[in-house]
Amino acid sequence: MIPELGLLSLVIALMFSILSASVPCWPLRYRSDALSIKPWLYAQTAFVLLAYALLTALFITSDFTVLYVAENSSRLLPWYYRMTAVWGAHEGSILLWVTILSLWILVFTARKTVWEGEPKEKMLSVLSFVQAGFLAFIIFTSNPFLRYFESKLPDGQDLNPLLQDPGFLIHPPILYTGYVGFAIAFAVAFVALLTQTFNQQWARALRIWTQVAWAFLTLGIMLGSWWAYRELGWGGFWFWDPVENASFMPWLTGTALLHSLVVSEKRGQFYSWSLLLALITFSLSLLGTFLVRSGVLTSVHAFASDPARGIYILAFLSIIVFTSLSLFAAQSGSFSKPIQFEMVSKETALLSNNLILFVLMSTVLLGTLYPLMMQMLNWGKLSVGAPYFNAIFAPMMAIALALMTFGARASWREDSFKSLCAKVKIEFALALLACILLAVTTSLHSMAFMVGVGLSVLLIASSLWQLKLAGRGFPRILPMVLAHIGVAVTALGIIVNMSLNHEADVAMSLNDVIQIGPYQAKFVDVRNRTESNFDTLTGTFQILDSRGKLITSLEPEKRYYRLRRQLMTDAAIYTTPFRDIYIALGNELSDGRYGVRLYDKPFIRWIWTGCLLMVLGIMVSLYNRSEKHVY
Amino acid sequence: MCIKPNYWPIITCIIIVILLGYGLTQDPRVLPSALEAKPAPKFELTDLFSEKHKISNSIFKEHYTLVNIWASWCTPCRVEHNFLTKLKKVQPKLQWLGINYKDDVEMARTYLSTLGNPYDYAVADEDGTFGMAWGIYGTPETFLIDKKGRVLHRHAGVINEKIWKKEFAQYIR
Repeated sequence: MIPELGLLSLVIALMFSILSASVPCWPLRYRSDALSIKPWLYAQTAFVLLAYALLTALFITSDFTVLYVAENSSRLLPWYYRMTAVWGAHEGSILLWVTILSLWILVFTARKTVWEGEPKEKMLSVLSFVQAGFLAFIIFTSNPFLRYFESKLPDGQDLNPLLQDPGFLIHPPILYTGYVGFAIAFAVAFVALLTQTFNQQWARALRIWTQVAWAFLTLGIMLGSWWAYRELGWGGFWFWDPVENASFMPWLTGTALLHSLVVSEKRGQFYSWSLLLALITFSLSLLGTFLVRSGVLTSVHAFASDPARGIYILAFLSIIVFTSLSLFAAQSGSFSKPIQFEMVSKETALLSNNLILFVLMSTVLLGTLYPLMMQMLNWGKLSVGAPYFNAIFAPMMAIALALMTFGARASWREDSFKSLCAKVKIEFALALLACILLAVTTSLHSMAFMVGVGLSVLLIASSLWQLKLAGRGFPRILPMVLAHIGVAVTALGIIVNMSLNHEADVAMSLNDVIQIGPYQAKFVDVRNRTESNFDTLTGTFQILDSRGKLITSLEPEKRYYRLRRQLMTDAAIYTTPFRDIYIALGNELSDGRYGVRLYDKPFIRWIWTGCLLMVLGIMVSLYNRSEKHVY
Repeated sequence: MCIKPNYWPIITCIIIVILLGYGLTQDPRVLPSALEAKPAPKFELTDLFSEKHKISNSIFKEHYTLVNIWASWCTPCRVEHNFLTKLKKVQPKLQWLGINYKDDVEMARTYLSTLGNPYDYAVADEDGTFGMAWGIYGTPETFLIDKKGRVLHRHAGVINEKIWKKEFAQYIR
């Protein structure tokens, strides 16, 4: 009964969203002035939440007459994985997408904004249209409530072992909250173009909604990277996988949007840029949703491919993107204004920022779609990987870091190169000192490494100095300072980690000791154990310092998940502020020794700490604004 | 041709959507072999039934050879085996080389004696080095080699009547 109720809930929600989407479009004489669509939006949200809750209940009670539950859960699965296995495969994860969109719509509907009245009704109509599209997609092609009564298996097929990790509990919901949150910016921009209304007040309000979505997206991407690092067994943090790129592209344009809105709010300029970026960011979110589920690109991340679903999403994506971008093409002309700033100014820095981020996004897009393009033109099969992306990102990030330093210190409207250089001369000296120190203390003398580190240190120093100079005005610039330092810290983490990391792939027998980083790892024990849904081979390694004193013990495992017959590596990590020691246990070799992979990963935690600083910056900004009433 | 900058986003998106639409018509799992049209890698493996006898590339001369990679632990191979036995009867000019991949030799011999042996030459690749040289990533896989020892075609997966007609038959006249 419950699965059928779940499907019914979705159908009712679809009906309400079709109503909310279409009624605001009717000419005023066909509807009452007083008719508000808000109750329908609340109803829509309620029914989607109900459907989601029912699916979760089916997982918790292990109702295997529902096909989706049978394929992604088992009675032996711990309760917290059973609750989250809801989003373990395509049908449930798209329901999660829709649920999160409902929650965003709920908040947007309930909150008092600057757009109350006609504009807001139109925005809600746009959002309902998106909601309706996805609900129809679920009902017609991806129903998670499908029943399957013929199964004779005693238990479900278990959640994919790769997903049985704490990272899985938080990464998808948070990432989706970010991804989906840009729908609000999209709706606002769409209505702005439609009604040819956009001003500094709108920009200010839009900026806040964008900040929240961006913060969640940053956090979501960071969690994904952290999870992959722990989970995949060889300590990589980013793979330029098509699905990773799909989340990174909206992040890049989302960052550009945030900065463009600063200029829109404070100087009343860059309206066209802001609106275009708002449209494009959500379009990229939709593109990402398409890429993951359609089977167009292979990826470790991708859900099972099904061309029928792919066709539907592509059609839906096309409708939304074509409508919005055609609207942009037709209407954005009315927003163009004469340029009110000089060559060297904060505006120019931010404009360059927009351009750089746009170029970076296009680079990622090209790299992701290039294999497909090659195939279409019959130029063979090609895969585009890290070498391409790194080659383009490295120099552009260097330029971006330099721009961030100078841009943050530049004055609005007019500044001069000479005065900018004068402003940053102390920090520059500091950065140069850091480079020289680095060159002397490590064995690395690569120019790229030193320039990268130098620019990151320059940015950190410059931001901190700016904070000091601000005196009592520091709460106002604290968000920017935190976020920029966050970027520099992440950049520093990436540069140092990629240059100085070290791997040892060896065969060890018991009581062997091997040097890794500044420590020694001693292999002391290995044993078998059985848990609820897996068997494990666990090794024990003692980490000793240079004098032989015991610091900690690490226990990497090799797990065999019985129901899916899948082998998994569960690495053990010793974390310190400046490096991680990462150990993965391999197979037992024919001579009784074990294959072991040990990694020394300097500065890896800095990468994610930087992301957290960026999110902290947003939180401070929202706190600063919380005194004001309406947004 | 001067297009207003406002129109560039929509034009780009139309191009991307067309590209993605094309992508939907393709199967991303199909991976062409890097060896096609190149000489087959040199190998020398022990005969499955006689440890002293060794078989190498020399058998490719003067014949079209079907190289089939299989294993006793591979369930799809068992499905394919029926078709292979039928095919053997209708293709007298074709020479057959069976590579037993990462398997136990005893079990391989039992498999062939119970289910029938369509291979003119049967060898064992116990550690997978042959597989690595030929770019094999699973079983069953089948290669068609021409009289000069060049790889004509590779199919990854079970071969049936339809696939044989579509992909292999054209090479053997």
